[in-house]
Amino acid sequence: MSAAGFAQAPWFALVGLAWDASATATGYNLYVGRATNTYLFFVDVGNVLTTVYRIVDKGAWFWAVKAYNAVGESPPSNEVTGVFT
Amino acid sequence: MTSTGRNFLRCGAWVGAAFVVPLALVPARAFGVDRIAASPPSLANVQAAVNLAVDGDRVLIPNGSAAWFGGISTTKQIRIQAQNYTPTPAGTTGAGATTRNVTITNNSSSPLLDLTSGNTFHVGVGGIRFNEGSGNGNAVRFNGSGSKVPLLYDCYFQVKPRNGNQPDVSVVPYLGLGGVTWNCVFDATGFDNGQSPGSDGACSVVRCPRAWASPSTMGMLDVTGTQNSYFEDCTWLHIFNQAVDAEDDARAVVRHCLLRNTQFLTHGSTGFTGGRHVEFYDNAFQFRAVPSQPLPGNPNGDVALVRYMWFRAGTGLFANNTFEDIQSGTWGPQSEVVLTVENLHRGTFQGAAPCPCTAYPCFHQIGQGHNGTSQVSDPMYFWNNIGTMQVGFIEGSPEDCFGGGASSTFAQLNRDYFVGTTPKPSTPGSPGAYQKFTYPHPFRAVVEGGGAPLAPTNLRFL
Repeated sequence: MSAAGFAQAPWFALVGLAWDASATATGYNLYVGRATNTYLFFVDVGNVLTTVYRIVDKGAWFWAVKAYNAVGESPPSNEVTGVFT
Repeated sequence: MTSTGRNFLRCGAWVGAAFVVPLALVPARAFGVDRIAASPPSLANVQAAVNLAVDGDRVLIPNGSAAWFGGISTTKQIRIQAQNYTPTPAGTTGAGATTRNVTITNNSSSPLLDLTSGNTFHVGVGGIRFNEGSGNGNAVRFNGSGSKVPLLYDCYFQVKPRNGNQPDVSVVPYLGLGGVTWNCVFDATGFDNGQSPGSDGACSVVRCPRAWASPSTMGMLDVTGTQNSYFEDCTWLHIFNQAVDAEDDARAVVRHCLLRNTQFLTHGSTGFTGGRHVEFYDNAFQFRAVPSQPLPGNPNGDVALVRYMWFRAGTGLFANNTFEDIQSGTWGPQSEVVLTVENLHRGTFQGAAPCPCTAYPCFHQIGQGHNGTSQVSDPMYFWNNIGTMQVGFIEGSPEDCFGGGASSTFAQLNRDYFVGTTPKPSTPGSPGAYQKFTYPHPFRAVVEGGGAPLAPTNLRFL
């Protein structure tokens, strides 16, 4: 509780990401990390070319996207990074 | 992997979305749908299907034949292909096994299919037979500088003599960035008479929007597979003059192809800049008689093939090809590869360099490349070719300059070109030896499937 008696709402940010299609993909995995080229986990965002990722911690974040189909997963896309302060 | 950094604004800790980005309400589509044209495959029916298509769609043409007296021009990022097309397996040089159930006869003075590449979906044409008719228009014409380079696959092109200005009379001009052509046949059989089909217009013209004065993209230096124009598993038959003209700034790769009685060339300084670089590897070059015109005492017939390749600008390589000796009847034995330092006797277009060139190296001459800063030596290499592959010289003609020297003086063995077993050891701006680009080209998976997808590109913040 804050001094005023109101609940402190948690901080968060929404990050919009977009990428260009990989022709034989049937879907995309969004990889998320806190250091470059080191991803903690991925989210299957489906067969779309945009997504919104919600972060709840400040600091540096890194994202890359991999395409997948029935055969397997592609190498990663270029990486993008943002620093939240 | 590259990083795109962004520092976001300090966000307050109070309620709500501290950082909100604009979002499209409907996600962009990753795939299109198939638009099936009505039958027969008339211009009107295919045009109607193209009109309905949006980026990413395929326009499918049912079996049948039609004569077209005009063409379709679109900037939509779509592929147009035969509905019942089945991809030829990779490595099937010649592509003869593919049945093409759609035939379009060219009675048009404008391109039958005029497509422009973009950055989201590959444009392309596949599985169609294009017969020559009364028209001289392009069968397929590619434009654009998009990263989703054009794809041309499993098509068959008749090639008749086409007189006029290229690229407008070329069968397939590649006027945009890169492209991959595979399992296609370009065939002048029935139109050739042992002479010179395409005497004024090359069957195909390759240009490139990437400047001559920029670093090499030979082999694996083309890291994205988009900078060179690739021809693989294709067949050219009896296209003496000439199958492919690697014109201004062109960067072309010909591999795993069959070339019978067929000549290629790079354009020289009589263009704006001339060709940049051409690679030939793992091809079969054949010299065969024309059965309809046997000559007494000349088992090879009277075939007007005077070379397989004519280098007039830039650099290039021939590796691991097989060559049949050219023993042309009227024209006698010929050098299989011919070199010309064009600026010695031909003027450069718009006076880019003095005429004649008097000091080595000449403007964009053979055996030269560019490191991004200046024109530099980048010798041609010919290695591990099988059969008879003689390298000879001719001078540019007609004479524009007067008093120019000999090409063999300006393009010297073991300086500007190397012949033997030594692979190309290096390229200006590259740390290592030449490596052939990945075969089959990864973009074939767009059509053929069969593997994991390529990496998505251009990840970015909205």
